[in-house]
Amino acid sequence: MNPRMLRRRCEERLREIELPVPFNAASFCDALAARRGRPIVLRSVVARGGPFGVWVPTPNKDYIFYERETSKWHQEHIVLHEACHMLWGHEPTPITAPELAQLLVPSISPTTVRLMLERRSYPEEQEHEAELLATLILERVGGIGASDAQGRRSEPNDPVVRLEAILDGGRVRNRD
Amino acid sequence: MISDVLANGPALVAWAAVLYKLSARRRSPDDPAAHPYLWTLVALASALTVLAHPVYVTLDRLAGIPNLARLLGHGFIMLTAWNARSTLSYVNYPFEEARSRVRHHGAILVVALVFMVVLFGLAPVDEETIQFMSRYATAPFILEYWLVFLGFLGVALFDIVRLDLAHAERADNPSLKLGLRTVALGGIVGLGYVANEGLYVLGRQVDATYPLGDKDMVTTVLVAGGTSLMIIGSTMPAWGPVVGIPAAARWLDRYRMLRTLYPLWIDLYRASPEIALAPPSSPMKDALSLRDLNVSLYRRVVEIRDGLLTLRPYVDPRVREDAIALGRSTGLAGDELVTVAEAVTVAAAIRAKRRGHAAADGGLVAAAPADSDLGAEAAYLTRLSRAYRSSPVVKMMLDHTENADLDGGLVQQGTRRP
Repeated sequence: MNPRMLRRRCEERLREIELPVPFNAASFCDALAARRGRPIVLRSVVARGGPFGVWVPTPNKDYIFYERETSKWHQEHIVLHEACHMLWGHEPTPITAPELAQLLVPSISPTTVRLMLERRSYPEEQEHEAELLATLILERVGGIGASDAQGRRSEPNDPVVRLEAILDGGRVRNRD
Repeated sequence: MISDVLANGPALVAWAAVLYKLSARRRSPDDPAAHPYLWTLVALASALTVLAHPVYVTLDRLAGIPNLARLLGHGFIMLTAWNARSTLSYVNYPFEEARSRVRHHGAILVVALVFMVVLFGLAPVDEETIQFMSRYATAPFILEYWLVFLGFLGVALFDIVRLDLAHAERADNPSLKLGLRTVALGGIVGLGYVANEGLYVLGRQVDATYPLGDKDMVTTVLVAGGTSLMIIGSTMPAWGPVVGIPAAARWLDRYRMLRTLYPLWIDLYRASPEIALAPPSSPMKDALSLRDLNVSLYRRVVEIRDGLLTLRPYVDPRVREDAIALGRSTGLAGDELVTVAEAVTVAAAIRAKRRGHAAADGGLVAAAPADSDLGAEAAYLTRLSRAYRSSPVVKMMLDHTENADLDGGLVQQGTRRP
């Protein structure tokens, strides 16, 4: 699929999705779980390379494993990427019960995790669908600029805050 | 025609600003600095009005005192400077301290005005002229008159520019930041006016030739430019959002970040091509893609993060330790040292991955700011990329390890990072 068609498909899909407020990966998964009627459990693991997240369905719930040793924001993106596989209805490679049991043990070695995750990739087109949809969702709820316009200072005696209030004539604050 | 607009236009702009402020005054904050700000605009509008040619001539005729409008205009300019300085003093210092400063400057203003009135009265400036400066530059008492006026104005403008730039530096709101910088630029043009007039009047005492051609035109341009910039700048926080200054500033921020992230991103892509959703275009084409910056920046940040994770098996913790030691020896400290050390670690890991030199179980790279949002994340990676591309420590470390590799015979030919 060419990038333009992929983008269009993702934007169409995005319009059908209701985004929870306040938004984060966990609240998004909660809403998705409620719609699917199956709980989603988020678990961090250390894989040190390879895929950074994986969706593991079991008979009565879905697990999303994500890389622990990366930034908070990156983790949000990884979880959302896996949730987007669910939204698209992609078919995950099944996992055996002993493998899952191993993944749930906190002391599992990164190498074992990596080897398990490496076998669980999707066709490239599905990866792109999940990746772009996750991007568009996070971009919509709080791209750059959601935080930069919020004054970092709320101290009313700060010279800059006062100067701003005086120069803009005490206009009702409605920052762009 | 142009000189008419330049000579009379700023007065209209100033009155428009006064009306605008008055209409917003009901909603003005109850701040002691708000009053001097309004008076700054009123005094400036008054100065520019009495100095506008038709008003100048009419006023003098009605009063029966030639060139009285000049004295009045200068007085209003000094009032403007005092009020502008008071506004910044009230904002900048605790109330008591600000008030004593304002009073102190006010006392100097009164003394200066008294001097100027006396000198003006003593000076033989009895013939009406709008070219007051060139006509009377060598008249008795006029040099003293100008030195008092320009001295007061120069000191006040210098203080205004200084405080203004300090506040602009700390401002987050783009309209305020750009506005304050515009005011400062106006102040600098004002200082240019002070220097121009001062040097001219001194030069005339010794019959020096004025080097810039039409002196009156230069004065008109400096006055019109300086005052307009100050009015435009000081009202910008109010109208900036309407004309889209915050949006433009955000766009520019994102664009700059994308550019700065490019070198790190492209090297990570070359080391791990699977990170990119869309393969990179040429650097030129990348620099020219101006649309959809939000999504582009989002992709670049997430792909850099993915790329950094793929490097982990190639991270050698000793490289970071060496980089910290080297960075410290070159005088780096704090966040900067940490960022540079991470950049070295990343650069070494990229090279190791290209050469297939995996190291043990891999270490962490580029720990992120806690609870980061996209803005903080992008800002952090931007700093990392900047260090990666241009820190001399990164280059020194790479050269150093390259040589060590060569000595150890691990690689046959050194290849530099492109």
